[in-house]
Amino acid sequence: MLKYIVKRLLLLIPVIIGTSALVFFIMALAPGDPATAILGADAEPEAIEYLREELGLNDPEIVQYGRYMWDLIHGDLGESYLTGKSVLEEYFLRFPATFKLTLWSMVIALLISIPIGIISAVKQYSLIDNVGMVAALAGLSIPNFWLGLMLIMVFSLNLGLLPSGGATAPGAVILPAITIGTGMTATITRMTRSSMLETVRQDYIRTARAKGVSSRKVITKHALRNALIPIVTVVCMNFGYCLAGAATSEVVFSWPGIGRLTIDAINSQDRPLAIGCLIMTAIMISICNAIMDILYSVIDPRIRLSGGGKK
Amino acid sequence: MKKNWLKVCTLLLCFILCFGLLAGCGGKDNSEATGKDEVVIATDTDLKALDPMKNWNSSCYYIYWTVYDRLIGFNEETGEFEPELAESWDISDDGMVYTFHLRKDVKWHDGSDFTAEDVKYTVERGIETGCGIYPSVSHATIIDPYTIEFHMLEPNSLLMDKQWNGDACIIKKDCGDDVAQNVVGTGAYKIKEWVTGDHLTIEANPDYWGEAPKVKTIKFVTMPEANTRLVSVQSGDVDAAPIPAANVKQASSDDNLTVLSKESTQVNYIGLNVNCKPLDNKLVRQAIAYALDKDAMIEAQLEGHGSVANTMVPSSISGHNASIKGYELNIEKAKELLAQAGYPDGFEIELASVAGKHDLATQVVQSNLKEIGIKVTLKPMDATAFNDYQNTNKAQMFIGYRSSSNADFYVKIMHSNNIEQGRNAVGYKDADMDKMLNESYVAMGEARDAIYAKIQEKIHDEAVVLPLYTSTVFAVVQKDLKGVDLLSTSGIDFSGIYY
Repeated sequence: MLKYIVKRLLLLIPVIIGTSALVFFIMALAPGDPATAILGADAEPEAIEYLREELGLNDPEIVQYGRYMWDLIHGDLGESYLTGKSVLEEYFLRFPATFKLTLWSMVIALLISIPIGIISAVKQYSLIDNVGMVAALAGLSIPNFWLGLMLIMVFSLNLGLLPSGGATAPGAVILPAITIGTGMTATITRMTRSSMLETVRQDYIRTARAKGVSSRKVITKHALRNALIPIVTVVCMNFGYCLAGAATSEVVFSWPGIGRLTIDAINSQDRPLAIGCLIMTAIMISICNAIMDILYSVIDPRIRLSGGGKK
Repeated sequence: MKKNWLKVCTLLLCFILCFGLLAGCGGKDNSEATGKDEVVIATDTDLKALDPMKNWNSSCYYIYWTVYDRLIGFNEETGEFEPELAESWDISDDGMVYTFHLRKDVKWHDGSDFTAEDVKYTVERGIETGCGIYPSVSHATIIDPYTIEFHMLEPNSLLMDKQWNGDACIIKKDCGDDVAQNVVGTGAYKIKEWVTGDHLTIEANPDYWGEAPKVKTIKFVTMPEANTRLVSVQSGDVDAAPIPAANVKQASSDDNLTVLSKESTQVNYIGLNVNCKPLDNKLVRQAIAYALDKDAMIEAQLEGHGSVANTMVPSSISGHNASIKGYELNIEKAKELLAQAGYPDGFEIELASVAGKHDLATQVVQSNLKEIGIKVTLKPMDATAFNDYQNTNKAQMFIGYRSSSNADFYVKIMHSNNIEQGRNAVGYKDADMDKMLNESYVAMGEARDAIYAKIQEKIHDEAVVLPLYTSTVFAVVQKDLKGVDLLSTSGIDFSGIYY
């Protein structure tokens, strides 16, 4: 296990280098100037020049990148052009909000999708199955933006039950979590259903039923565990993407998360902050993938982390 | 199977109807709002950094107006400067020395005394950062703890105009760049709590030298989405918020709310790059001017909430030339001028704009110019890319906007010195215009206004920049909330609010 973790950590190095180079040079090549983006187009030329000098923007791009990488090697992701705060400080100020939202969204998604997926598979073509699949399709199709605004109008404006935005009021996480969770519910439900359908048709399931094992035990003890691998894949991937921040929902609900931070950094050409956020996103997704691999070996002991294949 | 699908569709339809019904129901009674001790304001942009010499998004100004003071104030009704941190001031006859006599009873939020040293530090930092608040100021000299002189490199009548702007805040000496995160002012409110990305709370300053604020705390919460801001005010979560024109109708229909409005000083205009043929021909430019339907643009872009701009300097700014009537819509005249210029069949041209800012107005322009044979290709772009495109004189035709508290800001884009810097994005060069602009920097009062009047006449005649319309700023507030002061420079001053 330790060897596996070390190996995954070492794999992060090319990911970080690649991400930083790609983002840095794309932003450098993009039209616009960070100093003008921060100060505004109407700023005095002297102010723009002063800021460019202060931020080291007059140096050649390769020199700026070299300086950035030197700091990165020493664990320093730089400072935000706009606020002057360290990038890591900015990131971790927002991370708890994003993590909380991701967690709640996942809880809502799993609480709905797993049972519906299982029932849909067990009672294929029944009313529940059809309703579940149509609802899943609707959940996937409904734009987050619209759903979020509708939820605010219903639960905040009309019923007055929940706050309309922000992250500090009690219950503030519920509406954004439902919005994000709805999209994830759709994919997880469909994956659960198809994975379960494949599993329940296996011979060993028929054998278990023939032996007189109760239907509930057949589904939960035998079928579900064997159907979990694809479900875990989808869940972990969604978890990783959510940790990158759900920018649209964060804007609608004024949620102070990583998504908004990253988009704002890119729009305002705050290069250190944008690169830092994307590097951290890459790291989070890598961690989620590593956890996914570990879970595979837990769910199915035949899978070895060392990559030796099944026993 | 068919029966199941019918049941599914029926269930789904019922769900959608119920959801829609709930969404459409009337809002709750929010007359109790958030209480009298705390007022909650929703801002449209994040409050990330608050350096008055660098950070100038709209939300920053809410803090600058409440937490900081300036040397002088300005009465928009009388057009006169008013004392603030400076009780009085003198200007030498040659305009080279400005002497400010400061208040003696002002304290910083950390309890220390405000003195001339703070003003000197502010001026020096302003000059060093090039922020433009101290135009032509060479240095500041302290005469005594409450008297300070500004020495000029050359006379510049804009200096006083700039001292009452929202960003002309006097900052504490030696604060350095820390001023962006560690906000210490002399204003009616002081910072209580700041959670970046979420909210910033200010509380009444008990030691304030001026009229005591009526509300204990004001909480600014970030809500970038306009619809969310409006719903938050309707639900009572928030007491006031700026809203765009598109939300005015919905806000006005709610009896619990009041919609405040004020004509802003933001002039939206079309720039015609004289380095791009055939825009170097004045007849072509005037033809374009005659073809534009400004009323249609206001209707499309601002849902009717705006005014036609006949000249670059808006009517609320000193120096506005009211005698200029602008180019009235006249398609026949436009065609005639185009034919005279040698383009009876028109030509093709590109129109650049900031995506999301002038989308509908550009479509009106495209449609208008099509009538006279000019084929316009729209080129909306991201704001940063647009600035770059415009400032490097690549834009053939573009829609821009300017907003300020002084006439110079609107007309200095015509100076040839500003071509290289990008501000003169139309590439206009004229010795006569340069001379008038240079004279306007040193003239004062009516003499200066007379020069601005001539400049505007020339701008109108040359038709290199075509003013289109000024917009209106809106804010929606709970009906019992008073004292929200909309400023014509598109800011909002919340320092005097109360229930």
